[in-house]
Amino acid sequence: MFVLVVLRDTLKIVPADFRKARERALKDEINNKYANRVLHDIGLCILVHDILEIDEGFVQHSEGWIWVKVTFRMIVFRPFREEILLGRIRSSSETGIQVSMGFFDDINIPAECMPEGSEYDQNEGVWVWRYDDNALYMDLDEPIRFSVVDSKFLDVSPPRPTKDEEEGTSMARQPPYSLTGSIAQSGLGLLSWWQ
Amino acid sequence: MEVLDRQQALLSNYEVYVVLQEEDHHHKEIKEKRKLRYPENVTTLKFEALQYLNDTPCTTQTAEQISELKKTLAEYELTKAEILQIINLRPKTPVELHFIIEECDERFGMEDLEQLAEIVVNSLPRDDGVEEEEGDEGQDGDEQEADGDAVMNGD
Repeated sequence: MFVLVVLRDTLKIVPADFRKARERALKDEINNKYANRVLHDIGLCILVHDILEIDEGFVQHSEGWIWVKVTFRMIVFRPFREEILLGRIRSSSETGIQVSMGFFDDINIPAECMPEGSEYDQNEGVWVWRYDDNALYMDLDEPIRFSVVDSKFLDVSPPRPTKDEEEGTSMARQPPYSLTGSIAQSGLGLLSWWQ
Repeated sequence: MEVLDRQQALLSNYEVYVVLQEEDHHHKEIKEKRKLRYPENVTTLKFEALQYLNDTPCTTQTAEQISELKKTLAEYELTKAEILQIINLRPKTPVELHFIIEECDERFGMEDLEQLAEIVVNSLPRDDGVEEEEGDEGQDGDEQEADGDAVMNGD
C-alpha cells in the first residue's frame, strides 16, 4: 500500500530552524510541506523516508532564510491494483458504501462491486448481503476487507473561477485522490463474515 | 518540485511504521523542549497512520523476520506484490492466501497453501489470543518474543 517516491525540491530553512541540525531541519520542512498532501498522479504523502542529497544552500538578496535544493525519498500511500486493504465502513447510501482507513477516507465501494445478492436496506440505511438464507448486514464502523479495482486523481489545484457558476456543484468537495474498491470475491467484505 | 522516480520501491507496512514511530519520538522530544513548533498536518497524519498501523500485524514484526520470510518464500513462485501482501496481511489460513494470490487455484494446490500459511504464522510470530488450530505457533518463539504488545481481541 505504500511506495517510495524520489522527489527533488528547493526548500526553505527559516532562521528559527538554524539551531537544528541541517538534515533534521530539512526533514521537518519536507514533512511540513508534504505530509498529508496528495500529489497528482503520485499519491498521498506520508512522511519523508530519507534524504539522498543536499545541495549547497543559498541566501537570496533581501531574504533572511536559506534555500536548499534537496533530493529525498518520500513514503507515499498509493496502493496497487488488486491490492487487498482493510478499512472501516464510514457511511452507506444507495449507490454504495464509503470506507475509511483513518488517514485516508476517499474509498468508495459502488453497488456493482458488491457480492451478488446485495441490496440497500432503505429502513436501516445499510447494505445487506443476502446469501442463502442469511442476511449479512454491513453496519457502520465495521472492519471491511476490499480489493482496489481503480484509483483516480483529480486535479483540484487551480481554483479558477468558472463562468457558469452553479453554487451547489462547485461547492461539493472533490477528493484529489480516490479509490474504488470491490468486495465481490470470496474472502472479502466484513471480517466477521469469514471468521 | 520534480518527481525523479515515481516508484523506486514498494514499502511494507513495517517499514512505514518504523518511520512513523521515529517521527513520533522526535515530536515528543520537541514537546519537551516547548520551543519548536510542530506542524499540524504532520501531527494529524502521524496520529491517524499510526492508529491504522497499530491494528495491523506489522507492530510485532522485525526486519530480520521479514527478510527471513522473504528467503523462505523465494522457493514458491510468488510475485513481489504477493509477497508484500503476505507480509502486510499475515494470512493465517489458505482462505486468506486465496485472495492475495492471483489465480491461486491454477498455481497452488491446497497442500501448498496450508504449508504457506504455516510458514507465515511461524515466521511472523504474534500473540493472537485465542484462535483455532494454531497450537504449533507457540513452539517457535525463537529469537523474537512477539507477545505482550499484540492485543488483538477477536471481533
